[in-house]
Amino acid sequence: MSNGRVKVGFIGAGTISYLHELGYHDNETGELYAIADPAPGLAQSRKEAWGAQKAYTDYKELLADPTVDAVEILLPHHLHLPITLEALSAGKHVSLQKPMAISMDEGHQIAAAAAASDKVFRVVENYRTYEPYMRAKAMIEAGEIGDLVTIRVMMVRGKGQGGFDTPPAAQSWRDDAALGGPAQSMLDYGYHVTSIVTYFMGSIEKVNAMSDLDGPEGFTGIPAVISWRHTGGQYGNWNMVTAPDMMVRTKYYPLDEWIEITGTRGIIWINRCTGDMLGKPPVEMYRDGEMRSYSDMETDWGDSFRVAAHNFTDAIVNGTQPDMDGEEAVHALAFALGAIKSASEGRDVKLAEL
Amino acid sequence: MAGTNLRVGFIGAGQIAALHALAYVDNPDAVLHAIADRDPDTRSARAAEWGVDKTYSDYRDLLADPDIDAVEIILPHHLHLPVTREALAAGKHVSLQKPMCLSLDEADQIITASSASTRLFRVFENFRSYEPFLLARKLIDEGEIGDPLSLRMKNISGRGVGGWTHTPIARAWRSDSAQSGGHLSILDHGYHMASIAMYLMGHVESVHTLSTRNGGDAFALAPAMITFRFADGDRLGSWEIVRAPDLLVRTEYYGGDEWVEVTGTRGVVWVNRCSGDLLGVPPVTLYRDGVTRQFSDMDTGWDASFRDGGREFTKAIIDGTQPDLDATEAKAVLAFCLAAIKSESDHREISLGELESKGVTG
Repeated sequence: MSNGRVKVGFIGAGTISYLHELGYHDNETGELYAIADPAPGLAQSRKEAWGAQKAYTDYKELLADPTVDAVEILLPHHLHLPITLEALSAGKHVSLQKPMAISMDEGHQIAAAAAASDKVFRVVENYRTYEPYMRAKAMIEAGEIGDLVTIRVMMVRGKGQGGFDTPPAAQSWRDDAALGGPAQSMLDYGYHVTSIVTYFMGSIEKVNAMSDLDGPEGFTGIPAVISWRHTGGQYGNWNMVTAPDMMVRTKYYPLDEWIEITGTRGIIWINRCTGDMLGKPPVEMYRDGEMRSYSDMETDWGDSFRVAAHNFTDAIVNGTQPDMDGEEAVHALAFALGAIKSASEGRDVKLAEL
Repeated sequence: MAGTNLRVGFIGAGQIAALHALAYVDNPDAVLHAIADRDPDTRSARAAEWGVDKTYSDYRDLLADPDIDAVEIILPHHLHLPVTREALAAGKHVSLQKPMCLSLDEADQIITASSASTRLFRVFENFRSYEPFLLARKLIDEGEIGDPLSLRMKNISGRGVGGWTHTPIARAWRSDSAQSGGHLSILDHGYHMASIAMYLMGHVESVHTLSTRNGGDAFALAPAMITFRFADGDRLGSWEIVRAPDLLVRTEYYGGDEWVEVTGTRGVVWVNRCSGDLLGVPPVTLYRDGVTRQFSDMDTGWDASFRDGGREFTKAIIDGTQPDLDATEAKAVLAFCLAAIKSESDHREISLGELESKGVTG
């Protein structure tokens, strides 16, 4: 931190890294300093495109670079555990891309290593820094809809109109369960939903999922319908469907989500996230006979990555803990793995049994 | 049939009968000829309100009246089976208010009785005559959303403003599980929801419920999260039942509302209101190909569904056709509800087929 800014290295420079890079354009507390990727020429070309200072083909060299203060780990899921452990041992602050890991055992090992380290560790799940969700959370905490009772989540995968395609290099490792983990709909994509549901409603007691866990290659576990009870007595459900002919306006993945949260006094809707399928105001609230729309916020999904990176480097500078800490990240993982176990075994799964 | 018009008798003239009576205002096929109710105050008030001359304290006398062609049975649920059988045996056409009855065994007895009769029998579930649901079904049938894949339903009850509360009589029998069957959010109101799910997406194969039992409250279970698999392939559904005690619900009737979303391969259709008008938005919305369309040119009054549903009954008698719900379909709806209730107590997904051999009751 020679100039007062955290020097960040990316380990992994695949598809999603360009969204993470948005967090270092105008960041007063951090800069993108180094990039490591084993693909020939990729780290070098990213370094040039992004104005970073170092490129490595071996992440171990990046971790050995004493100028690097912090890393963002943007790798296939099976590498999350070993490289997080190495990075913390090397004395780097760590931001680990979601999903935390592909098993509870791995998640616990990561959380234990993070707890034993004096460096900042967080799992980055960008929906928690998507402004419409943050706005809804602030409204809930201000008591606008009373005490929370239920949440409903809808996700549609459609035909993207304007967004990006996942390149073969990002898809191939996801198709291998040993690398990507099981049931992408619930673990990889789904980690966003388990994160945002717990963000709004708190921890989960038990979960049930209906899905035959097959489905399109690279996105197994869809269609699905999942329901759960929170430890605080609230309930939720989550439908996921692939609609091949559904036009989804998007700059990113060809999917979108909408969420409805019911309280004792009112209801909040967050009408978009990854895409902008419905073209409605991003946040609406019903209370006391009146429907209100809120549009005074950044709705670009990509902006949630920018905010997340700022939270990371700000927290390092300020010595605070950014979302999600190890414990919270393990819980979101348990929710996802619990849903998969439920679908596979045809029974309710209590998260405590995992 | 006597005269040019069908003569219909109501067996039971309680709270909901006020909406059933709307079918006989300016009905070209039928008149409301007689009512039976054991409560003298109800009887006299309804007779005056509806201009009905003939009243009976005992429904058996109404069934013995040769002037009566058809009856609407609007009674506590435990009476649905015996009174339906007596009415069919007396040669009357029968419209039986939902829910069909309390168990699959009772449903089978009703099916047997209606099969043995030459008279028309149907269960009256008015959501299937509610114009926004009819439009949603039409849009689906016309292929507007492609092949339907996902159904999401919500039933929310709050603090009704402008509408009804249950009368003391309606509340008393509903609070007694022996009369009502209990679990009313799923068996009683839920019968509407189960019916509409099947109307829009087809039959249901298995169901799972997460809920909390509210002690002895017969109106439980709520909140509840019910999920289900349709018989047709990969179709899945969810159904939320939630109570929000401080949530204001604009309504002319009960203090609740329902909304439904069906997602297909190409589009999404929403029905944004039913028994209340909580949201104050157009009743039907369709998304497809980047365009959202709103439909408002329809009768959205919940009362209109009773009027139209009642008229479907009398017209079908004249035309010799079978209106919704026939006995088999009505039993399938009941099985969906009973499986949802059983799932909550057994803590597992229940296949509707497994209810058959076990004589499960609510």
